[in-house]
Amino acid sequence: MNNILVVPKSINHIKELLDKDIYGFIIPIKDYSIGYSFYLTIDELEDLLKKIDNKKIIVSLNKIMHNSDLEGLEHILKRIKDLNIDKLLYYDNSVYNIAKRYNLLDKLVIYEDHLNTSVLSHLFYHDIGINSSYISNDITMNEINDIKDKTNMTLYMTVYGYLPIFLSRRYLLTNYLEYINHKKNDDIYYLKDDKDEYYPIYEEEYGTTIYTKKIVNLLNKIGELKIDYLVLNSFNIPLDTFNSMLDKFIHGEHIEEEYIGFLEEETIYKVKGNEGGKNA
Amino acid sequence: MHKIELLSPAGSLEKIKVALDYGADAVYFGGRNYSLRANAKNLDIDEIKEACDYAHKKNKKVYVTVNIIFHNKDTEGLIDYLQKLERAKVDAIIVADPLVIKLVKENNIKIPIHISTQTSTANYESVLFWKDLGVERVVLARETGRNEIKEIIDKTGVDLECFIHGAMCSSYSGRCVLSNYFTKRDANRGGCAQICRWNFTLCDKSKLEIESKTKFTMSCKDLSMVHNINDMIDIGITSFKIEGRMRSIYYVATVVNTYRRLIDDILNNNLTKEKEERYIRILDRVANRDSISQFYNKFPGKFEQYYTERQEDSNQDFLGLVNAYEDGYAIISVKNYFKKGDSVEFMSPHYEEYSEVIKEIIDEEGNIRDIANHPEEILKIKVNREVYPGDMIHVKIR
Repeated sequence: MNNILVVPKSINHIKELLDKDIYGFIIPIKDYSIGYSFYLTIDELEDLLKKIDNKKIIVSLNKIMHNSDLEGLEHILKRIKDLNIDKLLYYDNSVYNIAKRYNLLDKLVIYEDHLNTSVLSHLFYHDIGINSSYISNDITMNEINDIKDKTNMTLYMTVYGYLPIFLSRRYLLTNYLEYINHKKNDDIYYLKDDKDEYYPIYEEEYGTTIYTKKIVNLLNKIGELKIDYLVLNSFNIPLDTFNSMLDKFIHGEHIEEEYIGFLEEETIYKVKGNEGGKNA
Repeated sequence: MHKIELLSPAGSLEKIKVALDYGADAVYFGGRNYSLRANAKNLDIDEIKEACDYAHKKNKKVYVTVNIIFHNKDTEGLIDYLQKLERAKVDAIIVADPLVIKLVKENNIKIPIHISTQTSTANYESVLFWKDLGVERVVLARETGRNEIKEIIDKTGVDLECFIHGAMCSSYSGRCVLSNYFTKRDANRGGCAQICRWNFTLCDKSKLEIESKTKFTMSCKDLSMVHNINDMIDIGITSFKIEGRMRSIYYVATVVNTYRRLIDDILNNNLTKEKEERYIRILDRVANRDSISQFYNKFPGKFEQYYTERQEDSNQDFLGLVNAYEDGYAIISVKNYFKKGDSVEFMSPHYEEYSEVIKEIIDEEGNIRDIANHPEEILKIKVNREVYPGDMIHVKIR
């Protein structure tokens, strides 16, 4: 199944997976991406590329950029132009603007997590020269397949992993732990709600991300989804567990019922009273 | 000096008129569909036309939010709606999903487009991206600091709109779907259940609870730029946006009136320390939550967040709404309890605030009363000067 992309835990994890029947890896760049287990500088990326010749490398630049990022971002894109990178995942429109100047539009994959959820929004990006999209997990299979049918964009999707569902620029863990006078020992914690469910919360240099309480696993649905590239994200998943599931995806095995998010269930937005609210 | 616009939220026709009367240069609100306050009353197309007529007679503007992130079937009826907005002569639409830009162009709909804060635009290259698409204004991400805003203005020349007052998301706008995953209510289509205001227990990576009587929350304090308006004018921000489409008419009138007077005093070099302190007292009082300047001057830390149970005290300062003036009496609708002898203030777009002591209260049957204690009851109170319909009475702010 040569359309699998892995978000690895580390360089060593990449090395372990080089013989697997997968398409390639998604590599985040230090200071220009967020929500990953590790990051590479552009120099380290260049070194990595010299060591890998049998797998594709997709670079992630998924951070929201501020002015101070732009000079460095331009430098990154200028270097990337001469590297053997398959694609560039991006969120911020500054990446588009700068990539356009370096004729890199064909490499871009619009990756907006929770935005870009319709046929028409995909056609907008297609109109401005983007031919690939990392589709949101917030929409249903029917909606995703409709997008594929009506736009013919190349689609990427997270099919295994924790999904990011909140991103703040603030240091929410540091702020809270300082407030209660408790030492911060780690970057990843869990938020437990009143139903005793645990949501991973991860703080890093560029902000705080909260993830779904469960790992989404769309293995049983792959045959029905019109997705071109399947992304398996190892973030916060034990290595053995991840590698074992990766093998199942590679061999197209069936698994017991798993959490599939909104794949077969729509969200609502017009409610009576305070339906779903805290004190409803 | 560039033109300064004070932009007020207004979730109903009544609030639109109040906001414009009390000094807003422009108002923004949602229609019945396509807006991020899906569960607010919002306005139908006839009301939108009426709002535009009312505003334009005063040489003021109306912006309609079309700011949801669309799923496929949400786009049904959208072109027709946009064409109706064009015919209603709205001055701009506020948009988060770029498919709206596509549809406006393809259907030759002549409405200026403003880009919503929902896109989390925080740098000059992104602003230039929108400018190249013909967008007339960008509402920046609330995470953008003062020097960043100035650089964006200097390098793009694009009209920028910045929030100056009201609630803040603790996430980057558009990058939070907690509501979706906790309650199935779609945050990006107007159903946000405000999970960021919930309390949680924080656990370490082994899922052991971190003991504390203070629960974890993401909730942050509200925004108030009252101390920074002068600087914001100096650096070139064009539009000053108040948040709060679901707020009361009293809140809208008070916040708009206060910022109107503050901006005018700054522009006319009339701002004194005494006036500034009074404006701050008024705004502190009408807000029922702590408010600060958040990202503008520094990176926010723990002091910019709420940890002790978020206090949402109901504001009972709003005592009455003037319906008419007759022979030395204000005829009012009672809003909250007051009594004879109380010191109150009258707030109006027609005159500077002034104080009265309640000397006489008469009900509709002509009975003399000592107290006003029935909400919406119609009473007459003796006043020292002419007052006008729409004037508001509130507790005296010392």
